[in-house]
Amino acid sequence: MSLDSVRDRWIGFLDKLEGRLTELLSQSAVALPQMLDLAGFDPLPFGNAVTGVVTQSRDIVFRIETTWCEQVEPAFEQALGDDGAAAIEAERQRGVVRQIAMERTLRTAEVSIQAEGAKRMLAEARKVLASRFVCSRCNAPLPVRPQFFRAYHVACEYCQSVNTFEPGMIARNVEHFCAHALAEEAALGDWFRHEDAERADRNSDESGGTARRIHRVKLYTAFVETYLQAKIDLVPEYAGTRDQDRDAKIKFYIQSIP
Amino acid sequence: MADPKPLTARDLLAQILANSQTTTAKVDAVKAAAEIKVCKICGAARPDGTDLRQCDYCGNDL
Repeated sequence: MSLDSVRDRWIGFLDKLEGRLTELLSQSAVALPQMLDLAGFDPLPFGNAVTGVVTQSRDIVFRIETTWCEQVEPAFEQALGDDGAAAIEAERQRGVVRQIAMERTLRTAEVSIQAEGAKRMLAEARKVLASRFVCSRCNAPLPVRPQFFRAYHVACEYCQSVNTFEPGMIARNVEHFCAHALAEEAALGDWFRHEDAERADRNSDESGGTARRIHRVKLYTAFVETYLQAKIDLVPEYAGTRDQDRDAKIKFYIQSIP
Repeated sequence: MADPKPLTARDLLAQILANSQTTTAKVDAVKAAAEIKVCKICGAARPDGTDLRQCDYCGNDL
């Protein structure tokens, strides 16, 4: 097979994979949030479907590497002969660049689908908390906090009896399901900046390593701060442990750097 | 090179959605509600500002 023919097939293969990934993710972005509505805002089937889509998408992306090793590299070697090392490396890099771009597309879609689900869940929770609740002793209207998603005691303004208010599954899921998804969406740009720095550090030689690692930690810290602030905006009770959460995440991250 | 398109994206997604629905246990959703706890001995409610662990009227542990 000629060099041009091998290259054309390689580029066509990459285009085909990218098209398939884009198609799967764009259809998922429409279908999955609707699934949450249909399941009565139970986040489990939705979460399982997101995991399924991400797993299948990773398989698509992973095919770049496996196909390169099994079929494309040998085909280029055959077409180029012994002097083609530089050209083969350039073609491998073409695959790497496309793989990184597709991984980022996948991550963006995953975060965005989860956040869309979270927004629907949050809107429904607010609707539930805005309903009319009454004291179970005297039936007087009970004032319920619209932005508090846990069970708590609320005193009846009429008979002074203490009621236990249960916000229900949908409102409770705001903390368990929505807070993380919305915070990830808010901090996605910071995460990508950190990821770029991490990749640059990994692919560099040892010179300037300390400065690169300090830069990585700085970008990771920015990500953690944006993430935690977004959670606090939704659930103000988290502000009490903000510094502790931030320090623990950064300490763990520093320990994970080789 | 391997065929990257064994199933259409639509069929693949339909399969994922069906799996996620059939393999998830259904739970009874707890509804939002307010309820009052009363003393089992004397039937008194718990007034605001009192010790909520003991009946303010007869002293029974709630």
